[in-house]
Amino acid sequence: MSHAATAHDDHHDHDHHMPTGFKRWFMSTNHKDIGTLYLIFSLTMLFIGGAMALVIRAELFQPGLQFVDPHFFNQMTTMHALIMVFGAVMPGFVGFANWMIPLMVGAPDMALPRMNNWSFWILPFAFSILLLSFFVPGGAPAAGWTLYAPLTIQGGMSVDMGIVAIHMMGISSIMGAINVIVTVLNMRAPGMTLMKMPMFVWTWLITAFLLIAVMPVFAGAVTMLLTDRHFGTAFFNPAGGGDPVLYQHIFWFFGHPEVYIMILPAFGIISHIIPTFARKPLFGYSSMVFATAAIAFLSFIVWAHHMFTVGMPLQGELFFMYATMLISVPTGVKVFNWVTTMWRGSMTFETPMLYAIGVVFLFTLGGLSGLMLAITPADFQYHDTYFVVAHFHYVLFSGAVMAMMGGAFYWLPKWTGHMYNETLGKIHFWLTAIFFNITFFPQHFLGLAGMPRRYADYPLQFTEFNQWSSIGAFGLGISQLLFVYIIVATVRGGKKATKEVWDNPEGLEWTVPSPAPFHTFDEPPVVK
Amino acid sequence: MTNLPLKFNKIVKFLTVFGGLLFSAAAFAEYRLNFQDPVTQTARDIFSLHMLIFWICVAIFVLVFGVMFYSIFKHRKSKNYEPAQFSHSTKVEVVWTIIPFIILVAMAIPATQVLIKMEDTTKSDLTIKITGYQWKWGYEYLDSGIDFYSTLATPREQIDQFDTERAVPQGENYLLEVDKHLVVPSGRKVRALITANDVIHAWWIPAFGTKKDAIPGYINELWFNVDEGKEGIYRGQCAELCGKDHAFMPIVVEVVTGEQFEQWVAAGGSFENVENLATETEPPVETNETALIEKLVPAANAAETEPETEATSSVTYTMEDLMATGEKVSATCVACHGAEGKGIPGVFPAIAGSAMAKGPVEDHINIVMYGKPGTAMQAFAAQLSDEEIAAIVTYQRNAYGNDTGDVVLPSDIQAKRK
Repeated sequence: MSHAATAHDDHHDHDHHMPTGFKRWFMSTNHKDIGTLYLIFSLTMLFIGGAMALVIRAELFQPGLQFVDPHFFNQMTTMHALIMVFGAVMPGFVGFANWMIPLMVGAPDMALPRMNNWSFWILPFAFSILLLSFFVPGGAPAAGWTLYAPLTIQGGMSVDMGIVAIHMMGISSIMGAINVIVTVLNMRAPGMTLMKMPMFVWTWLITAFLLIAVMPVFAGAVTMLLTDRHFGTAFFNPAGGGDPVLYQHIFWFFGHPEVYIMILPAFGIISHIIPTFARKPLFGYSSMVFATAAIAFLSFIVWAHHMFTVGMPLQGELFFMYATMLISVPTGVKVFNWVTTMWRGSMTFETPMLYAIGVVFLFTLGGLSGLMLAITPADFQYHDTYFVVAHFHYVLFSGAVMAMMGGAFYWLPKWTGHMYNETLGKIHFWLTAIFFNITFFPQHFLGLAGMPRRYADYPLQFTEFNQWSSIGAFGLGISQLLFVYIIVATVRGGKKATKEVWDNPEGLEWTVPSPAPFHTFDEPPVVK
Repeated sequence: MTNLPLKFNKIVKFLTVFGGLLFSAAAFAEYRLNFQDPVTQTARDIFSLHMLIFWICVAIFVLVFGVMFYSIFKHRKSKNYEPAQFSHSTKVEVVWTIIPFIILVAMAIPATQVLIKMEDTTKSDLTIKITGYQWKWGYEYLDSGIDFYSTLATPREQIDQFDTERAVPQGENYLLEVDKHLVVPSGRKVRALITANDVIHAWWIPAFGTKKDAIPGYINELWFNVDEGKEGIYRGQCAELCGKDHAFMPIVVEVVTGEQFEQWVAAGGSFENVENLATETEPPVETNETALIEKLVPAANAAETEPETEATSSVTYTMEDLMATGEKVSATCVACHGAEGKGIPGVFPAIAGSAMAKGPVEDHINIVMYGKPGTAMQAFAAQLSDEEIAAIVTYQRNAYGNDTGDVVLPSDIQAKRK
């Protein structure tokens, strides 16, 4: 890592010994190194999960089974989701949190550095167990990432491996969340009141509380599944008087806040990029904070909108419909604030800004299809179709993942000390945005016309749009190689980045040299 | 970024080409962009609700991003636009919190009205119990006692395209055709009780605007009332992941007039004169399955009434007969255990060379008839006739290189029925 090589230039570093090799990376307690590890891990998982997506899209290019049997297809859809959600998106944001939160609040490191090391190093083991499940008899879990009972009760031993892996990632996430909360609440620089905190810190603080609230719920759900499978209990097993719908309630009580866990830090990143390139302060800072908190609160009372077709009583359906619709109010406030931040700014369109605009535009599209999905009677038609698949890829890929890409370009000069290649960055943005839309926009039509999701094969009238989608997916996948190339090239060299990198950006991270030295803020900065 | 307008031109050009491709595709394809044509009042209500919300969303989208793109083209540094420094305005923020709220209330009112209507399952004319199985549907007319199973009729050769040389072209209703249709009358309120036998499934006919999960241990309700004059065949698919053959358990509903329906019920729900019933008939598919249906319908009906079952046992069966029938009927086994009986190790055990198929014949009959709890191996005793089970067991004990020489007779099966 080049920032390590040049870190000697900084005076902060003279007092400290910087370990190298195994000791540096495996025993690290340094927030920047651990952040780097998280980000590399996340990118690796993005490619593994992406490869599975391409198997899915290859099989769906034509009607009929050409490449994989339906059982393996189900393993692909299940593992693609588990890897992307728990391996790519969540650790990716923890990587950003590790790198940026101490720099943004003026702290020398995370509050609990050893726990930080542990929470990262659990992950490679958790995902090794999950991925090894491909090689046990019967292959990987194939019941969908939601692991609905009783289908999971039928599954092979890979389901147990998946449960162990979920427990491990849950422990990792909870420790990461505790670390964020303690750091943010205890280690802010003098003068940085809560309402002066950067938006990314705010969104992560709220996300951390969500994580602590719901990860144990998920752990409970999969543990009950485990005892149903092996120890003769019947929580969810109807053969013993259990209740399959109970599983769904517990799962989605975790699962809905989980989708906000994956999007709130993205909102934070966007709220940094737009003001920088609009050369204008973020509009409505305090309403942004309140909107984030409101979204987090509402995320706990909308879970059953994922299960409108299970046969809830009318009153239940009405309550969850109204509550879900309400979420669009604070989310709308955020979008309006971003647009108003741009309004009468003096904008330039470097790669991070392109990503930020792309996210605002495409995420909102996904948000509006989400509003359509909230309308219960219409949801009966959309439910479990490709309309839903299109919807959540608009919020998760063009929301969360593209926000991370934008964030990576935004802070890469701070991390590496080099400017990335602007032309290549822009090409990467346009390839990603265009192929993403070719992949997922036609899926709206597929869903409306009636194609159910998680189908290994489909009737002939769905062929055209599936072909569009498959072509787009391969383009999207191949374009990400350019992303890796840009990152590697920037780490290795390039134009030297200044301390501020951009045109007078706001935030403490821009007051330290680029690359950020191994130790920063030994003396706390004072925030006025 | 001084050359953005130039790039923008390129993007416009690309979009034009892209759009052109879509339109040219429209000329030959039968795909659609929106919901299937509704044939019930519920489906029409949902459709108008869906379009209402859609246009509201489009309006919001155009408004918000109209402002954003105006700003992007006007307020840019390359045009030497001086940045303003305002950072909040309570008035504006209150306005854009309240206005969306009012829009939401406007959306919620019609949505609530439709939902209340949809959930009212009272005053139905006819009740059908629908049961999801891995991977077929079972239908039971509670008023007349007619019951049958409905299985995918698309031949395996059309589905398996792994070997391109052996691939067979797919038919018009590929994956949307079943052996026995659910027959319902138009103009009557049909109530369905929905449950499942093993895992969760979901019963969905898009044109009816109904989708409900079929959950083991639960009985869910839905209803539909197809408009008179809309008789015909409507197709749907299972909409909840239910394991390996989730994509291969379609739903086909044949809507007939009330009068035709009465006749059909009076005839005991026979499928032999199906073409006389439907206004829109399917061309008969030249497959083994079709032949099978014709043969099986009398057998299945026979199995329902005790005296006739005894009558069938007086027929003599040769091993050749049983093997031939067994090969055809075991399509239901092949779904998991594979065409060559090799299964998928770890989830679906092999039949070829297995201890079950080569060991005691009793165990083999038992597992076919009563299944294995906690696995996808379900109890087939109620789904198949004595003759079919006997044929399957005989076939499996002698095919796939098992060569045990055992012959199982329908009377053996009948003796085991509890």
